[in-house]
Amino acid sequence: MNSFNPKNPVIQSLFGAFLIALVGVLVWQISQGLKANNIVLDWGVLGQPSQITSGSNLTTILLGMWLTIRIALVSIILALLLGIVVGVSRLSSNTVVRLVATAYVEFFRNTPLLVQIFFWYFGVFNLLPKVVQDSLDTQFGAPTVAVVAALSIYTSSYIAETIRAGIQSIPKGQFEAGDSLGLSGFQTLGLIILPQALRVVIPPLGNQFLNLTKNSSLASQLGAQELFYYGIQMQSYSGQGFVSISAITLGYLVMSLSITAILTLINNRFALAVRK
Amino acid sequence: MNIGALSFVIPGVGQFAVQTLFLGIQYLLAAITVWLVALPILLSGPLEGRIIALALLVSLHVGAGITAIAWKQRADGLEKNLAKAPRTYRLWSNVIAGLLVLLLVDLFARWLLSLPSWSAVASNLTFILIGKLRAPSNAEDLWRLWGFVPLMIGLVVGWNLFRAKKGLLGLVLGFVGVIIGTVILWPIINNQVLGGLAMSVMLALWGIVLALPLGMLVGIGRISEIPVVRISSTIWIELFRSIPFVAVIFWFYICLPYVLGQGTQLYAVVLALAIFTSSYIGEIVRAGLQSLPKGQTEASRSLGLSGSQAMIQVVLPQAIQNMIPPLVGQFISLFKDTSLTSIVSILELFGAGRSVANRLGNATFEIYLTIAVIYFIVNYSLSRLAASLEGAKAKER
Repeated sequence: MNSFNPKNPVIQSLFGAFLIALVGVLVWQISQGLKANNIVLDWGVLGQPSQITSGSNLTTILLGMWLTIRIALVSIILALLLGIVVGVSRLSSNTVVRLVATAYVEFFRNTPLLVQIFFWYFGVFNLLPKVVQDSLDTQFGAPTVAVVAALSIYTSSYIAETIRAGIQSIPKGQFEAGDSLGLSGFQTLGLIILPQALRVVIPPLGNQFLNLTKNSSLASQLGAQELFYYGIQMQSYSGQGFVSISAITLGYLVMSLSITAILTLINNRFALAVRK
Repeated sequence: MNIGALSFVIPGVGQFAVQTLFLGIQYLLAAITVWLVALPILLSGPLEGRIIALALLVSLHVGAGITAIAWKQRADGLEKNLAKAPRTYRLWSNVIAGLLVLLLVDLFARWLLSLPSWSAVASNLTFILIGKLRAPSNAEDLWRLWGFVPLMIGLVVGWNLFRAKKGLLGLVLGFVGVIIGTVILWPIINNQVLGGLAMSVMLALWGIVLALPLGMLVGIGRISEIPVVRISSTIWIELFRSIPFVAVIFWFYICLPYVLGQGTQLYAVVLALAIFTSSYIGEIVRAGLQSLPKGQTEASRSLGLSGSQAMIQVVLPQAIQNMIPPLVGQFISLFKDTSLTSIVSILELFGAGRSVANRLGNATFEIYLTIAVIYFIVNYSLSRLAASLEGAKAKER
C-alpha cells in the first residue's frame, strides 16, 4: 500500500540535511557580518573581573539571577493569594462582588504588563506618602516594589480565571453534598471544592508561574538589578553583545526548565493521589 | 418585639442575638468599613457624594435590621418559606455593596478629574495615536493613513467569509487587503514617522501574518511521524517559550544587522514578534489537532488518502474551528507584546506614551492611565470577540 515510511533513513537524512543547511547559512551570514565589523567573540569575558559588581562577570549574572528568583518567588505567592480571592469572588452570589472581580480581571488581563509596571512605578508609587516611599525604597528598592506589585496583580488576573475554571469543573453535586452535610458556604469551599479544584488547576497554574518568571525580565526597564538588566549592562561595558545575550538566555532557560521539572514532580504526586 | 431589630441600631448585633454568628461578623465588619468611608464624605464631600453616603448608611442599618428580623422569624417558625431569609440577605448585601462601590467610583472619578495635567494629555493625544506623523513637516504624508482603510476592509470581509466557511477566499481577500494597506503605509512605517497606536496595530498585524504560517508549520511538525522534524519543531517551540520576549528581541536586535546591514531594527522587531508568537501558535495548533478524535485520521487513511492529504483535507479544516478562540487570545497577547518593542526605541503606543511622559515630567499618572485605557479598549473588544466565538461554537454542538 503506502510505501512512505517516516522512519526511512533517506527521508530522515534529507530533512536533517535541509535543517543543517538552513542553520549553517544563518551562522555563516552572521559570522561574515561579525568579521566585516571586526568583532571577535570572546567567551572569556565571563571570567574577567566585572565593572558592575564585585567578582567576575559570571558573578554579576548569577547575582542578577538571584534577584530574579526572589522577585519571582514573592510575586508567585502574592499572585496566588490574590488570584484565589478574585477567582472565588468571580463566582460569588453577590452580584456587586462578582462585577468588581470581573472588572479587575478584565482590566489587568487586557493591558500590557510593561504599561502596568510603569503605571505603578511612575504613577502610583509617587502618590504614596513620602514616609512610605522612603521606607519601601531603602528596604527593597523602589523598582523592585513596583515590579512585584505589577507582576502579582497582572498574574493574579490570569490565576483568577484558572481558579474559576477549576471550581466550575467540579460537579455541582459536590456543592450540594457539602450543603446537605450542614457545612456553611465557606466550609464547603475550603474543605471540599478548593482541594479538588487545586488539583485540576495545577498544570495551568504552573504555566502562569513560568510566565511570571519570564515576565520579571521587564523589571530591567526600571533598573531593578535582575538577570536581564545585568546582562545588558555587561553588554554595554564589555561590548560583547553575543556573549551577554547568550548568558541571559541560558539563565532563563535554566530557571524555566527547573520550574518545569518541579511542576512535573508536583503534578505526578497529585496524579498518583487521585488514582488511589 | 423581634430581637433582630437590634441591628437597626448597630448592624451585626441583631444577627449575634439571633445566633447567626457568621452573618453577624459579616455585618459588623461591613458596618465598620462603611462608616469609616462614608462619615468623612458625609461631613465634607461633594453633593452627590453626600447623597450616596447617606443612602449607603441608611441601607446598611435598614438592611441589617430587616435581614436579622427575617432570620429570627425563620428560626421561630413564623415564616414558612425557608428561602425567604437568604433571599432578603442577598438582596440587601447587593444594595449595600453596590452603593459602596458607587461611592468609591464617584470619589475616584472626582479625584481623576482634579488631576492637573489632563490638558497636556489631550494636546499630546494625536502623538500617542499616530506618532511623529502629526508634525506639520509630515503633513504631505498624512494621506497615507488611508492605507488603514483597505487593510481593515480586507480583514473584516476576509474574516466574515472565513466564518461563512469560505476560508480560502477569505484568506486571500484578507491578505490582499493587508498588502495594499501596507504598500500605502510602507514609506511612513519604514522611516518610523508613523508611531503610536497606528504603529502598534501594524506591528501586531505583520506579526500575526508571519507567525500564523510559521506556527502552523511547527505545530504540525511537532506531531509529525518523522523524528527529525518532530524533534526540531519541539526544540523551536520549547526554546522560544522558555525565554522572555525581551531576550528574543535582543537576539534579533543584535544579530540581524550582521545579516541585513544597518538600520534594520524595525525588521528585527517584526521578526522577533513573529517567531516568538509562532512558538505559542505551534502549541495551539498541536492542541487543536490532537483534540480531534483519532478516528478522523484513521478513516481518511483507510479511504486511501496519504498522511499529508488526510492532514490537509480532513483534519486541518475541522481543527481550525477549534483553534480560532485561542488564536484570538494569542493575538491579544501579541498586541500586548508590541509594547515591549519600545525598549529598542520603536515609538509605538507605549513608546510614544513613554516619551511624552518623559518630556512633560509631571503628568506620568495621567499618561500611563490613558495608554492603559487605549490598550484595554482594543484588547477587551478582541477578547469579547473570542468569547462570542466560543459561545457560538458551544451552541453548534
